[in-house]
Amino acid sequence: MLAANLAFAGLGIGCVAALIGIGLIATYRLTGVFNLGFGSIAMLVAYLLWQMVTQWHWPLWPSVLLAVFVIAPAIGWVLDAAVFRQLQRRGASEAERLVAGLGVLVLCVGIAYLAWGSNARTNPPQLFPTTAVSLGGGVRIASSVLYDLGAVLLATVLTLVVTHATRIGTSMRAVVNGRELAELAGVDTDALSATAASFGSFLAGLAGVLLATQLRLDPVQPTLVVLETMVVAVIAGMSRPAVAVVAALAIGVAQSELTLLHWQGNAGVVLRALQSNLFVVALLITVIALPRLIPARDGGMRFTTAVPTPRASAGWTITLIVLLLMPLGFSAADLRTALQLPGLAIIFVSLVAVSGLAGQISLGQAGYAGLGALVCAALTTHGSVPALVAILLAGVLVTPVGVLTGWPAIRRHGIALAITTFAVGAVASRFVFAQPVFTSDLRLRRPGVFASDRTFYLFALVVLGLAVLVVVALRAGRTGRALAAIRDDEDAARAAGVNVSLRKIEVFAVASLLAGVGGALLGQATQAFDAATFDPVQGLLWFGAVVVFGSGDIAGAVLAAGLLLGIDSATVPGASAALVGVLALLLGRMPGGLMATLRRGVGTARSTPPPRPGLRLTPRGEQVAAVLRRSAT
Amino acid sequence: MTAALEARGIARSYGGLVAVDGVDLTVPAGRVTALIGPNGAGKSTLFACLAGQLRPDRGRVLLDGHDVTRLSPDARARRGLARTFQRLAIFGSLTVADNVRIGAENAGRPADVDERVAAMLDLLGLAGVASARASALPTGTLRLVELARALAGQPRVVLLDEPTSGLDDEQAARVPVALRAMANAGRAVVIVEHDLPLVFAAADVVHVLARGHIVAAGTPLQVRADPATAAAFAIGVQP
Repeated sequence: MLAANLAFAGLGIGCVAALIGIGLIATYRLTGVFNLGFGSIAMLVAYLLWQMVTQWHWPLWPSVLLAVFVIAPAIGWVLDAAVFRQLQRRGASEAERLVAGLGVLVLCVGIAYLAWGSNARTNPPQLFPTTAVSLGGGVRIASSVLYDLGAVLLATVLTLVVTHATRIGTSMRAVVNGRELAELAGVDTDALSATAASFGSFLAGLAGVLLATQLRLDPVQPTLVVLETMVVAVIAGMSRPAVAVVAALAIGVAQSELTLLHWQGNAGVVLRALQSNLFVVALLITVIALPRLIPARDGGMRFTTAVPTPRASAGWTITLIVLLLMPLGFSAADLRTALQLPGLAIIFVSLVAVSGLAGQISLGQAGYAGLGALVCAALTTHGSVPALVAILLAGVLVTPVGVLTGWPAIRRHGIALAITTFAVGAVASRFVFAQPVFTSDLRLRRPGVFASDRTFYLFALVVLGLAVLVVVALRAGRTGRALAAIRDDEDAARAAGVNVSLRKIEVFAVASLLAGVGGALLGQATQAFDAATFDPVQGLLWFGAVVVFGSGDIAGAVLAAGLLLGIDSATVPGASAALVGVLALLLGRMPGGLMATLRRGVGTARSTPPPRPGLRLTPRGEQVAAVLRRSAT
Repeated sequence: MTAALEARGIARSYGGLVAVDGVDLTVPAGRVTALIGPNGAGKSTLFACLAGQLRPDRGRVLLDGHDVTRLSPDARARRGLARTFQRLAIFGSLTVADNVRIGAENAGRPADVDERVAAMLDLLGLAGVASARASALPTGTLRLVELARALAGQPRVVLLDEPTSGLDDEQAARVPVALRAMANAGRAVVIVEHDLPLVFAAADVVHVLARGHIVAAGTPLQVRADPATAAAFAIGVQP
């Protein structure tokens, strides 16, 4: 009887996961975009409903209708018109569309922080009565679950009908496959993509208002839960809503049934984590064991193919060094904020290595950084390891984790790699950082000779300099050429004899080492381990910031770290996220990122030079070129 | 004649569709070997199995007598098997010289990289654009860069995927000269090509694939006279 009651209780979160899965699938099928921002749209609509009902005291159901049926679709329409339609029209790569989705996520989180702050709201409006309905034999089910199941059924049928049984659905899929061809066939592609985006956003809004009744409402948690429950869409191969529903309900019920178990010791710690995080475990297992479930529309994650890797000029470098030294003249309070800069900058530089140089997406860098901080704290709190050595060991001990998670990158690209690396960060956060058994009573001691804020800042700057040198060395010579080849065309790199697997492992190892060291320094700056600092959503913001400033730009990464810290401390938390989100959505208009655009603007860019007059093939080259010219691209 | 590359009983299926079914192929050094066949015959699948992009379900691939079936494409490249792609496959963010250098330093022996890069740039007339970024150059020049990169590792076997793709008739007619030069240098050259007149003009040995099997093989004259060739294409082949 208890098992049956728990099963029905699990259907609640299962229904929300099902709605999320259906929404992701519908959006992907109809727009061709794997929208990482889906969860943040859900969160934003939930906040809007809370604002209308709880703060403005508007009646519940008119507010629900306004939020879910008007505002949510409107968000989708605006995003399509302003961002995604442009990307599809110019045949943007999967990478660009993924980053645009990331921009939506970061922007929505930033807006939520700015509008409602970081405090959790625990009084979301209840859409349905929570009274229990008896099914006989002592088995009871909350009536709200029955309504949730009705919503899932409605969404499933609606999605299947729209995508498979209507001319609109057929036309939408034609647009995804080839917008220009669809236009030649007389299809109004703009209207269709707007309709598809609005439909997906409507489903996100519906999931959001239902999810808010089961979670505390804050800018991060609902967004994160939606990202973790995307496993059901992955299990469904991004194409079968009914499979997503079954998977969602099954995992929801299984997670609820786990509360029947009571284990002690370390097994009990794992069990308690599983009881509330089964979806993220399922996500990690699925993406590692069944990577082929995730479709790939193109071959890789190329951010910088069209734009050469920028090299900072001497002027930029000197300016950056001066900016980095400025905090030494700050007041004690401001300097304390700036102490986090070198550690954060090292984490950003590690992202330059993995994403900018090798073209590999890594959404789990916050996880490596958090593990680095935790290892450093554990070594200095419980052991007698000097703090200086602990920083180094933090990087070294995190490296195997980077290698392990880099292993799937050997054969994965695009969305598959993005979800895999995100899942690693999410599991680290849920199963390590959020567990008191690992994090309580930890103190991050600074090295004795660098105990004061000023000396520690100088010391951390030196470590940042070393990290920059490591990435510069990685970019130079044979290794740098091999990484550029992998980034530009992986198949061609293999054909040219580049050991792609080894190079990818190398770059993931170096990046995780640097992230571990950066995390340790970030922790020592505040002298405490804060799990929120290394939250997976924070990792998405960091990745977005590095891409926005130029994924191959080391100076840009350092500047991005400074700006993120500076903006949030000078204004309000969330302002930097909103800025990064806006810039990410504008990335299509800033080839190579913000720094490259700025450099071009001031005439110091080392971007692709126009062909020089007089640049000619030798006569023999002209002869052979005459044979091969105009070959297909 | 020494076999530089051999396929023994290669089979590969996609779900229930058998693309290549027990194909044997011997590619001698110093010769141009062509694979022809109608669309869907299995040419691309066989080519991908030879280059390492696809792992065959059955059968073995031997490079200079050594079994390389389980080796990755990059490992095969380092053992002397180079390939070009039907599409343009260039490292756009690197210079022309660096594009060539990648082939020289990864696929070839570690010594004399600078000399081999310079020699290849000279050979193909690319010295004038050596420091130019590849993405800034026209397609015809980039075809040369791709070829230079493939040859810079001094491969013993060169696989060329539709070398005349996108070329006009006059340009395509000159490709046999380039193929013959490679073969005369002792390399085993394999081409997959739809342009039958070119194949019959350039190849020493022709293999005809149909529905995953080799249905005819021999010199161009023999293959043209073989009824199986006409049957494979379901049309008459002009003598």
